[in-house]
Amino acid sequence: MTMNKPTIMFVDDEQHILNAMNWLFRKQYNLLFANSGEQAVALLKEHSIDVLISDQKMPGMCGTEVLKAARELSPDTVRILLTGYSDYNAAVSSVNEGEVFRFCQKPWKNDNLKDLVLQAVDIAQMTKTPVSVASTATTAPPLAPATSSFMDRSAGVLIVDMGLKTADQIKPTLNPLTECFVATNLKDAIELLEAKSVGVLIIEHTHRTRQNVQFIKMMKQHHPEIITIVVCENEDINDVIELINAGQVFRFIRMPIRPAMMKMSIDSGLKHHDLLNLRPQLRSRYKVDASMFSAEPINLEAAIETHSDFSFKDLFSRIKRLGRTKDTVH
Amino acid sequence: MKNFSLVRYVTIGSILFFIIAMGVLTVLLKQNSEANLLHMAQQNNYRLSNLLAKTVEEELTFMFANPTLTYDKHPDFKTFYAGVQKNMDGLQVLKVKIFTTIGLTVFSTQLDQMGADKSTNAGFLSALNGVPTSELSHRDTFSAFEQEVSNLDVISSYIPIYLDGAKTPSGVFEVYSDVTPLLAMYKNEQYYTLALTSSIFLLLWSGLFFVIRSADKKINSQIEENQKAKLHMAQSEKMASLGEMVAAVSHELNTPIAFVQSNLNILSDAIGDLIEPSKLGANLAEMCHKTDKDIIRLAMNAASIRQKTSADGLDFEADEFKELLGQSLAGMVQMSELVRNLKDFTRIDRNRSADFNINKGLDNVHYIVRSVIPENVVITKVLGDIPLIPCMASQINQVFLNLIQNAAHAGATEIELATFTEGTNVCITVTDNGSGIPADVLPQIFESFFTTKERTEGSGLGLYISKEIIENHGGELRVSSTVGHGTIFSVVLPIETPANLKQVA
Repeated sequence: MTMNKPTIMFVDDEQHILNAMNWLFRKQYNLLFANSGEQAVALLKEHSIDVLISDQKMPGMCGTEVLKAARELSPDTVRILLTGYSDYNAAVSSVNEGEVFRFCQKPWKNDNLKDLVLQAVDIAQMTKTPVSVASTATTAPPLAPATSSFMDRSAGVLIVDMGLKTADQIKPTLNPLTECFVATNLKDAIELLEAKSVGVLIIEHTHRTRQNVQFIKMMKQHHPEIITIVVCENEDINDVIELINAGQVFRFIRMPIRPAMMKMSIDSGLKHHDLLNLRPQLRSRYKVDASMFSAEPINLEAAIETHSDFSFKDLFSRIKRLGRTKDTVH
Repeated sequence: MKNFSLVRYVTIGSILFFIIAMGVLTVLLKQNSEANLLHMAQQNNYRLSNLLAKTVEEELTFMFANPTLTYDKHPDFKTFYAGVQKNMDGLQVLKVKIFTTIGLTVFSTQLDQMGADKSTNAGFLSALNGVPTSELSHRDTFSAFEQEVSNLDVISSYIPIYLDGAKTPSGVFEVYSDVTPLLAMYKNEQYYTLALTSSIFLLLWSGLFFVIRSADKKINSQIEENQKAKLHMAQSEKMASLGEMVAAVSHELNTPIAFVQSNLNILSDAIGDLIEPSKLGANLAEMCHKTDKDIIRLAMNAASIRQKTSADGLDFEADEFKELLGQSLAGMVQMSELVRNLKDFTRIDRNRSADFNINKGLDNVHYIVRSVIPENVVITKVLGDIPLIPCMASQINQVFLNLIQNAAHAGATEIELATFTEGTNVCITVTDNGSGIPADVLPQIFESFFTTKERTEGSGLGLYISKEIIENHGGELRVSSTVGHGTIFSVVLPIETPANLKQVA
């Protein structure tokens, strides 16, 4: 094993897939293969792994469980799910429990997969926790509510409530010290983002609020440090995949909202936001590039039909400017 | 199912009821009016007889004293006859007869009847015993007072006559009175009552008819809707399970597609790298063949070759090409096996009854269901030697799939499929070690829309449809369950399936 090559682990119960991966990647990387989730966990404990690519449907441990284990055992490992089975629950738990980097579907295109792995490896190497930091902070906060005090509690929570009455349900769960802003449309949301310091953005995703997907993607493209929590009503697997891959959503919360789950997610989100501010190089893990959604043209008219004086182009440029104005403020 | 035609039955029923009720009413009315009439007429005749007896007491005393003599021989007969006639005048009396105690007609206003013997007549005998009797009869012709009248309703009364305070009747009068107009009046009254009653009845009935007809329409449309809904639900259940299966199978297909595609792309790229080296090799070989020398010296343009080929050598060795292709071919076999199984499972092309190898069907369902149920569920098969069963294979497969899926949903980790012959039946059991079904729930599991699963997971139609399918095959779907241990579902199919195999949705 050459030490200077990055290490990638593939997990799949189908040996043929592992063989294909071997042929595809053996030249550039050190490869590890696991036929099951259990084997993958064992290998995670022994090796330092930059990128983990797992199948979802396997006997024994499933993919999201492998991701969850990896997140705890080796938080620096960039986690990718590669599956032929588009299961909504699996997609949601890959985010909420496994904090997945990308959700890929079988069959893949070799070039795309190579690009993705290259990107993941770069990010993994760039964001590797320095030994000094590793002992004091973890890149992945535990799922349990944080008990430690925060260094910076100034960042608030922005709730974009567009009809699901999420604000009323979320507000009581918030820590009284956390500032909370509520917007009922994207225009108000961007104004609040311009004026206030926001660490966690809670936004709903329903069939009526398709434009929010674009908004989430734009926000993540320019402001990966603002954590996105999506409250979703409809169970559309493709939307979830899009929101994972192009929106790097931190948590998916299903309706009806369970307060404990919400509180835990917001606390982790705020903590994660602080971490990204503390170590800005980590942001690249959550940044999405424009190419991720350039294929889908933005429907300006349909997107903001309720605001004639407010176009998506305007929103886009304001999101872009957001960072700069904020930087000057701080 | 044939609908119960409410309107038809109610109509037929009420017409029958109407006819019977009218018949009874008519008879009762007739009897009642006749009895009234008889009673009235008898009283009239009684009074008349006694009045007559008073006026002609002298003649009567003679007549009854000589019971064997007819009065026409008497010298005063003419005067007597005229007197009686006079007395009858203006009354509805048609004829008067007088009998002595031995039944001899000693007097009659119809002269030719005198002397006739009445001693055996029931009416006469009754009157002789002191009880007057009357009788109503219709006469086409009637001779009264020496003249013929026709078409009459006549009441004849036998009246006992007592002379001088005698204890037993001294003789008997027979009085015929004409009740034609009275009877006509009664009849009119009867008709009127009947008409009134039937019109009230008709009115009531027509009201009722409209209510029933609209109720019937409502019931029929409800039945129709119900059947439509049922059909629709069965259809959507089928589509849902088919959809779930297609999703699972396409995942199953995605795996071989993924690696075959990847392998072929790698091969395609690798073959590109082979072009220059293989040209070089081919040129060398050609050169060797062109010369007859055993050893030749070559001058090579190393710079050109360096330029055209990779410095790292080939990514893939020749034997690896074989391996890549071999694995791709194995992937193709996987895919075609999956497609064949899917085709066998649905049997869309053969949805009619045919001799079906149940064991083969179970193998097929097992193959398909593996991709639908969790990976950790172990399915074992104990397949006995069973004959072919005439049935609709796709439907029977649907039942097996449903039973296995249910077992997996109940948290089973082991499922056993067994087949065996039992008398004239073939028995297929699906035994699981799942959570079992509580006894209070067990009787409901075959009902439509009964489900213990989450609203989004189960329609509650799976077992209902399964039971229907098996019953349409003349078979039986049985269940026995122990909470905490598991459940056994038994499909019992007759080896000779009834000819009228029904088509279900």
